[in-house]
Order: sequence, then C-alpha cells, then structure tokens
Amino acid sequence: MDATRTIITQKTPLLLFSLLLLFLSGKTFAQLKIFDKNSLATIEKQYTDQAFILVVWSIECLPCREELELISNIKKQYENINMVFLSTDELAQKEMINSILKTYKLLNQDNWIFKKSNSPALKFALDPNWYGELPRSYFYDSQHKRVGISGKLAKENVLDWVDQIK
Amino acid sequence: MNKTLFLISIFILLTGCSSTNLFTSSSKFNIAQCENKNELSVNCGKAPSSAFDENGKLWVVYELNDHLYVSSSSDKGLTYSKPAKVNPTPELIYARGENRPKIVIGSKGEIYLSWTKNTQGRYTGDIRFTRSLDQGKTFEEIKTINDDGFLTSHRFDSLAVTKSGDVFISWIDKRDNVIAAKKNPNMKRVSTAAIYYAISSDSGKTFNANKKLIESSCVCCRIAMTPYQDDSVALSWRHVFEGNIRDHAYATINSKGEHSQTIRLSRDDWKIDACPHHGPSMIKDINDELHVVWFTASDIRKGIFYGQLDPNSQEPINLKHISALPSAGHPYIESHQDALFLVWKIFNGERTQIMLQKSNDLGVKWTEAKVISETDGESDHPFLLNHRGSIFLAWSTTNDGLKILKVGQ
Repeated sequence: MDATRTIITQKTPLLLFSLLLLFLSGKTFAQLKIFDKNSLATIEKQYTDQAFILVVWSIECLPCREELELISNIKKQYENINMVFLSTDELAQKEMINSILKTYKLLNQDNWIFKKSNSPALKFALDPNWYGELPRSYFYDSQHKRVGISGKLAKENVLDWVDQIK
Repeated sequence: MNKTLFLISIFILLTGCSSTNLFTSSSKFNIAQCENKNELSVNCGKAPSSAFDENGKLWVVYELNDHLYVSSSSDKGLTYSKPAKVNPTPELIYARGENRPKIVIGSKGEIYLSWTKNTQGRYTGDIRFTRSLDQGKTFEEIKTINDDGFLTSHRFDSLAVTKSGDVFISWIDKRDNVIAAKKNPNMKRVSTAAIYYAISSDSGKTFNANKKLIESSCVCCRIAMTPYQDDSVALSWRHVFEGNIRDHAYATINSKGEHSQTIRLSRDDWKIDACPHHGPSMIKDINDELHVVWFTASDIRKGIFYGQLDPNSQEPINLKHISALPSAGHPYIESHQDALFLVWKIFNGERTQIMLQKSNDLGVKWTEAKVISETDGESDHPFLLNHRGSIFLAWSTTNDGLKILKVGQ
C-alpha cells in the first residue's frame, strides 16, 4: 500500500500532465492516420460492403475549407454516412490541420494524412488518373465502385448520393 | 482505491501519450547528413532556389528552422560556401512548392531575395525583401513590401530584375477583400485575390508604393515573372475569368509602374472551384517574344501545354500538348538564342522523373521528350538556370539533395 502511495506521489506531476495532455488531445487533436502506398486498400477494407465518401483536402487549399464546412453540415444531418478525410499535407503541418478540422468539427472523424506532403507516389496510389487539383472527392458505393469529383462539391450532389446509398 | 487510481493513471498516461505521440514525429530527409535537423546545407534546406551570377558562380537560398540561408558554389554545385544567415530573427517562412523564397543576381553581383513570411492566421503573409551588396557576407535590414498594414494574404511573391536594373516584386494580395468586407460585413467570402506589385529604381534600396495590376487572380498558384524588353517585366498567372474559369492571363509592367492591359493567354475553359497549385512558367526569347508553359485540366484539354504568346489572339502560336499524363506537372521554360528548353516532372508509377524537350526554332518543332533525371524518393519542383547560354537543371530530391545538372546549350 505504502509503495503504491509512493509511486502515486512521485508520478503525480506526470499524471497531471498526462491528464492535461489527454484533455487537450480529446479537444484539440485529431487522430491522424498516416497514408502510405497501401493505405487506400486499408480504408477500402475498413468499409467493406459499405458506401463512403473520401474527401481529399489540404491546408493550402481555400475551397477545401468550404467543402469541409459543407460536408460537416451534411454529417450532422446524416450521422450514419461513412466519411473519410485525407489531407495531402504532412504531420509537420499538424497545428494548422488540427485547427481547420476543429473549426469544422471534424476532429473525431476518420482522418488520414499523407506520409509525405503532396507526394506524387501517394497521389498515384490514390488515383493514377487524378491531376492533383483540390478538393477532390470520391463517392464509393457499397460495391466500392467509385466516382472522383474535382473542385468544391455542390450540396445537391452530395445529397443525391446520400439518397442513392440509402 | 489507490491501486485503482494507479491503474487509471497508467491507462491515462498511455492513452494520453498515444494521441500526442502522433505529433512528435516529422518527415526526415533520407540522406544521412540531413538527419541532423540543424544541418546547414543546400541539400537539407527546404525549397532551395538558385541563380547564376555573371561570373558563373551559383547562388542558392533555402529555408531551415525559420531562417533563410544563402550559399554559393564556384564549381556548378559540387561544393558550397559556408552559408550566410539572411534573417537574424527567426520568422515563419513559406517554403514549399509554389510558394518559396526567390533569388535573383543583379548585373553588378547584387544578391536580391524575396520571400513570404507566414503571419498570424490562416493563409496570411507579408512579402519580404532584402539584398546583399557584398557578395553575401551581409544582408540589409529586411523590408516588408506590402504597404497596406492588413493582416491578410500577401503571398506567392515573384522577383525579377530588368536589364535597366529595376527590381520588380509581384504577389497575390487579398487587401481588397478586407476593405470590401469592412464596408459590407455581410458580404460573401471572396475566393479570388488581386495581383499587386512594387518597383525599386535604386537597386532595392527603396520601393515605390504598391500598385494593383488586376483583380480576380487565383489564390494559390505561382506568378511567372520574367524581364521583358529593357526596363519591363512580363507576368503570367492563373486568372479567374467569369464563370469560375481558371485559365491563364498575362500583362507587362514598365519601370514607371505602368502596366499593359491583361490579355487572356489561352482558351482552355477550365471551370473549377479548386486550388490547382499549379502556376505557369514564362520566358522571353531573343526577339522579345514570350513563351509560356502551363497546366490545365479542362474538359477540352488536360495536361501540360506550351505556346508562344500572341497579343492579337487568345490562343497562343505553336500551341503544343507537352504531356497528357495526370502526374505531369510543374513545367519550367528557359531560352537561349533560338533554343527553348522545357522541363517538367512526371511519376511513372515507381519513380519521379524529370523530362526535357528542346526546340531549336523557338517552339515550332520539338525534340522527343527524354528523361534527364529521376528519383525513387520525394522531390521538389524542377527549375532551369541559364548561365551565358548553358542551361542547367536545378532539382532538389530527398535522396540526392540539390542536383545541378547541365542539360544543354
């Protein structure tokens, strides 16, 4: 008992710090998964037999912010839609990424980030026919037939897709 | 009770740390010397930009840990001098892709630098400038070139020095959006910007007041700016035409600050509300004709295109589809006498390659595209340098550092 008390006493500052970190991580940071050459397969496996939207965005892309806002609002309305968010930036830009995700209340979503910012190999792995423009969105049906759309999405298009997958 | 608390604390410690550990790692350069994050080297610095002086000395500026550094090489990039620190006080600097520090060397060996400082807030910045008149030993006090005082986007600087010695800086500027929003707080957010410029007629000692070239530019693509005639520059940029068409336009500005009309460069009709992050490259030839390479992904044409500008038409002369590959990007053009050199980057599924094409008749006919360099790591955009007619590729890769490769003359 005494030994345990000693450990607790010694660890108190660390524990408090950890609690602070946990508090902060829960409120401020997204769980950003690293997107490498094999990650698309991982994502597709994760949503086997399920429809989902994959939204590709970047902190440097102003229209992406408007798209994130739109998608966030739709997510509020249709909580069960699977949504995946992929930033083409890298962890070095984590503060800005988190700040934007927080603004649009997307911290708790399935968030991914390029292993290396703007990597041609990762763009190719995601879609060899994509020219790199952002935002870029992929609508997957439950059979994982996908349609890629470049540029800011229109709300009607997203809602049409939601109707189709219902 | 205490044991339970202890277990909870361990759990919290682990879970709390697991979410923060994600943020302690960052990308590393593969080459061994760059594993030290403080390694001062052109091979490890971010977004290096290069230029030759009149004597063939190569000058490189790069960013590392919120400072700019300048090094020189007297052997075409084999070895470099000890780097000189440009900004004594650290500041956040945009240093990647289309938004990077610039270096231009004057005819008397003046070293001119411009860059964009990342100011507080998203997508904001100030245009910064300094010069060295003692071969890079010291740099003068840094100037902020944008003169509006707003905390908004002044970014994507471009720098050029004319034959007459006038120093031009142009950039993408959102001050007008701030002014409009102050007048009408309920206005819808505007997703375009303006192009502003400033000119120095005393070799960068002072700059004239900022002037506006045009409104409605794209907000995230580099401006191509090249010396034109004796005392002017020509600029090309991605413009947002009516209907959200993101095609290119161009104009010229003389040393008195007078600018030409803006002329549409091509009719690609790329309608998109997106950030291409893909600006053009432009060069003048011996006859003062302008040649441009650019990227588009419109319904009528996709990929990289070349053309000689025609002031009387909205389609260029000798329009050529350089590459339709989706991975093809970031083309750069240089000229010498009747020759044009063009490089761009592709990803072939395994490696990133730099392609070269040459024209010996100012763009009428072109050689077959050939691979001149490649890497299986990450890489920067390719650039071409011209030293008295010898053309060099400057390309930074994670595996090999900054490559300086002679590609023709």
